[in-house]
Amino acid sequence: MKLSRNFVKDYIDLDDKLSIKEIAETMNLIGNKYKSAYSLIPCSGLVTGEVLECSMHQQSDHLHVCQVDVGDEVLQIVCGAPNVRKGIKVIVAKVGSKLPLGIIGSTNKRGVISNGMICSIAELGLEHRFLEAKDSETIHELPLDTPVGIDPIKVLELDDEVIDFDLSPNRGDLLSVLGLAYELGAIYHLQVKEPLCSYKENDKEIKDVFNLSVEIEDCPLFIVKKIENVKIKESPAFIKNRLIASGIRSINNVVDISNYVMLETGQPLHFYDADKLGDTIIVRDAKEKEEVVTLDGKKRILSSEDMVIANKECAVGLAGVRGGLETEVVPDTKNIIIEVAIFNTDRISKTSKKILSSEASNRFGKGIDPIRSYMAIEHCCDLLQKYADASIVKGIISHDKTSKDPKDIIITLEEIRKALGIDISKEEVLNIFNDLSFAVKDRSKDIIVTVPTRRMDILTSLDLINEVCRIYGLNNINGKLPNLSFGSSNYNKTVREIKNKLINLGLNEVLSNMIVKEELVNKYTNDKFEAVIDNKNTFRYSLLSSLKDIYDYNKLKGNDNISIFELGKGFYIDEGKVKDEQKLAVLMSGNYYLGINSQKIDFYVIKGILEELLDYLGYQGRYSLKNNSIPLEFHPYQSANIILQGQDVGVIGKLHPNETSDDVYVFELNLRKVLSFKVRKMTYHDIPQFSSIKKEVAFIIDKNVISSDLITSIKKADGKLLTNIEISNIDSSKDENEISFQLTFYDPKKNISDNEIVESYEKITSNIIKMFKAKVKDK
Amino acid sequence: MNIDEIKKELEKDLTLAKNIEDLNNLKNKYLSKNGIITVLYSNMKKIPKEEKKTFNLKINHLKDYFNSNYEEMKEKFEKELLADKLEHEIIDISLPSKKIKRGSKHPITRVVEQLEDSLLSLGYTVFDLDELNLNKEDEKIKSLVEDNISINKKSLQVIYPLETYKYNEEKNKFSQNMQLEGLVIGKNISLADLKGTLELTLKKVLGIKTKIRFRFNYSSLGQIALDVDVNCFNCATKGCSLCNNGFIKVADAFMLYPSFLENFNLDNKIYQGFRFNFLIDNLAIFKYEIKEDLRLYENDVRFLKQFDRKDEENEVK
Repeated sequence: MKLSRNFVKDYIDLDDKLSIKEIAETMNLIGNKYKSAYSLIPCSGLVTGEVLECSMHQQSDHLHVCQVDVGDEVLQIVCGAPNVRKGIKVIVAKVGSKLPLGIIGSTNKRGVISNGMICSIAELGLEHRFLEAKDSETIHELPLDTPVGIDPIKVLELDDEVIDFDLSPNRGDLLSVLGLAYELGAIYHLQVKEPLCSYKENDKEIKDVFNLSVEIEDCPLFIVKKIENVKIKESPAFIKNRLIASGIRSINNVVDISNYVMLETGQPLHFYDADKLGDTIIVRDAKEKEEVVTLDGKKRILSSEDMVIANKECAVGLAGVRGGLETEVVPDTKNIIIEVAIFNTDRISKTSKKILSSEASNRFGKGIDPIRSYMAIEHCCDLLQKYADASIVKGIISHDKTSKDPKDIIITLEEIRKALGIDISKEEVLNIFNDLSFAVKDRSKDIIVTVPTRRMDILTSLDLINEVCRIYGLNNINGKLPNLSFGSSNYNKTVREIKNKLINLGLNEVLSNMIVKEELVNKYTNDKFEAVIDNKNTFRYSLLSSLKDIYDYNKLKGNDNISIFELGKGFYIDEGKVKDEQKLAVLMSGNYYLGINSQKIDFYVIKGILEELLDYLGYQGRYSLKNNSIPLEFHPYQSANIILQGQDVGVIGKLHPNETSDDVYVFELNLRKVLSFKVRKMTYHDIPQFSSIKKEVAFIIDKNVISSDLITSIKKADGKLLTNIEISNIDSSKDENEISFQLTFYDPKKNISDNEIVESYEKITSNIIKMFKAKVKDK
Repeated sequence: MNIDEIKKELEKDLTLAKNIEDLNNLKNKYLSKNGIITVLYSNMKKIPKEEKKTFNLKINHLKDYFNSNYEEMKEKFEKELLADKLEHEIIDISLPSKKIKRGSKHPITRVVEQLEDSLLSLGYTVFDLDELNLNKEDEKIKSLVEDNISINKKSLQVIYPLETYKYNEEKNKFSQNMQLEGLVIGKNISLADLKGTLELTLKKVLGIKTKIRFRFNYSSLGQIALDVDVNCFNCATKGCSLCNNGFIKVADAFMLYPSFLENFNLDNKIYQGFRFNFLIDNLAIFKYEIKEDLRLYENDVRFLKQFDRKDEENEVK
């Protein structure tokens, strides 16, 4: 709904000092959203001028050099319009004025200085659909009696401002200038003046010349009025311009008046050419496959769900949506039948959704106040007599089943105070209802509020509390905190700690789209599951499909050294229900910075990240890597399943060359599974009292022997004294691997003797030599 | 050589000593086994008895004189030596440090965590609504209330993060949005309580000076519904592509319908409540002044790496 400031000023004395943006924002704060607020003509620095002299430019066959009187000076302006000539009054944009096309400067046009521009209407910024051909082809000629040096926008009566509202669907009453005037009145404490009508009726009686038959219940109100001998011509400027400001194109005086009154009252009207319509209107359900050609010239095929307005022969309009072409008001129309009606909102909404929506169907679909229906007829007759010289047939024919009694709602001050949490006084409450133009009766224990019929949205005392809140102003309420005794707050910080840990390890957190390409959903996993697909969108199961996307994106942008992680959800369907699983995925590629060293990321770097995380979470010594079943997207020899206490909780490794030609390493953990394992209580262990002894040993060993087996065997071989084994070096440059270990021996009860060390050492070496056919490297 | 001559020579030697080595040579010369002063002591025998005492005194003075000078000069030389050594150890302190690279936390996560912390301190409990939220939120809220409202405990103060998806028919695509929702049920709860809760929480996250605006909104969900706006940082509230006529919506909320409470056998004359919903994406855009909102879910590492430090603390009274 576009509200013209000039239009609404007919009904309410809005302060001219308020900017249109201020008004829009104030309305916005009480629940009436808006898209934009603007001047109809977005120009500044325009003045009226008179062309004193006009001569041909010597270097051009179409340019004229004009001397233009703009009041305080005479400007030389070069103008290319075909209709420029001496003596006409024109719109002048002086140097420095702002137009939609830019700021006007002083220019040199083929050797002649031009200080400004003579404008066409099109150059002032009106939407194209409101323009005629001459508006862009020629400069605009103002009336010859226009004074020079004044604002031409005022002369054109286009000095209007507009708020384009985006209103709440329950406020159908605001789809009218009057409805918005009541809202503005409530905010600015202003009285709304409803339009006064005065017209004369002729001697004929409508009952004698016309018949109405309403055959359906879904049309509770239908009023017919007949108008004779209208003169169809151009609308007066104020009607034309207010329609333009409201976003409606001017057609002619008669059609414009129907739109004008609709904008004013919210009641759509339809005019029929009475001579084409005949003497009867029947309101009925459409027949199956019944056809009607609407005003836009399109043939519409209807069903019994739709309602039509018909004459004796056939349907002449789609009730509540669009009139028919056959009975259209045209330039030679003489007599008119006016229709004002109310239809069942649901049926109109259905039809307009199915066939087409219009300004009328939008309003009918949200409900009409029957009092406005009568007001619309009245004002329409008034305007038609004033601006179309109409002769008005006496009386109306009406079918009216509507109730016009306002609702009484009882409310107490206590209710309002309690709901809003404020100490509002009764006087303030009464003032608010008064500002809303709601009648009130103050009984000492409660208040009876009489809600006008236009406010169809207000049904209960809760709605009245809403009104008080709106007008009192949310920003005038002092906030406080609920005074409640709640139990202690509860929060599992594990997820946050995992994120912090990975961030401290130098990884960047990403948040990715849970929707993945359908072909990706089964990747990076061996799990069998049913994917979640909603509206053709596939929700991810493995987070790695998202991370790989992000990797590709960054690669494309030229970013190297990508170390990212995401903690999020993967989805699947279990027994028909959508389930989710919390997962953690890490992707690393390029270099990883560890201390001073920037190290090329390999399997051992990402394995380090995984172990660091699992150890931090308290699972040290409870997990291992096994190459059991690696998904196809992984490198078969540089990947492993992550096993935590015998359970497969994830996968780690390098992506298969089929996936990417880069060295990309990833892991994914099923976090829900991981965290389901209880973590031992963290307790203190005595600090060693005796000294431990470290000893180096290096084995030369077959390349197929894996280090974890070696370590396990070393542990088994020794008694209880070996407390720690670390690999200190691996040399795999020769045919056999040379692996060096640092062994730590410790006895909590005493200092270890040399003999004991030798004994342990012998046991270990002989065992390893025997088991793996290894050699001990001499030191 | 008599003692006076020795002293003169010693004085001369001391002035010539330039370092610890010289000094030690002097010690050798005067106090070693065959040193000049040591020799004087052994000459004592030859001194007549009556002069012995004076002579002894003189030698002692001479020895003391040497020792005190020696110590003083030694300390001085050592200091010089150390200073010299330190000077040679000069480094360029402007060279880059040997640090571990920090990772970064996504701005969406940051805002969620800060809101959670603020609300936790007000006694809220964080729930995980679980499962994908495809318009089934209301069912989950109902079961959440049912599970937590009992005969003994008729109040509730919870928050739950929600990733929501809005289906865009034009693009045939879901758009992702992060939200943090909250629900409060208790005795004598009013709109003022809702407003205060939102104000406090938002100021803690966005800073005490943030201008927060409450805007009435019609909603079929609840009784009194409202939107919360902050001033756009990008256009000084003139209106730009990032905002709505100069304002950015960061939250919405409403008071519960009395009928909602009746569902759980709560007397709506005693019990009231509200729900609120923080729009995390917009909060992050505002808080970090992210002028291109597309960046939020793009995950360009050049974007991510900017969020690598602790957020500032905002104290709100």
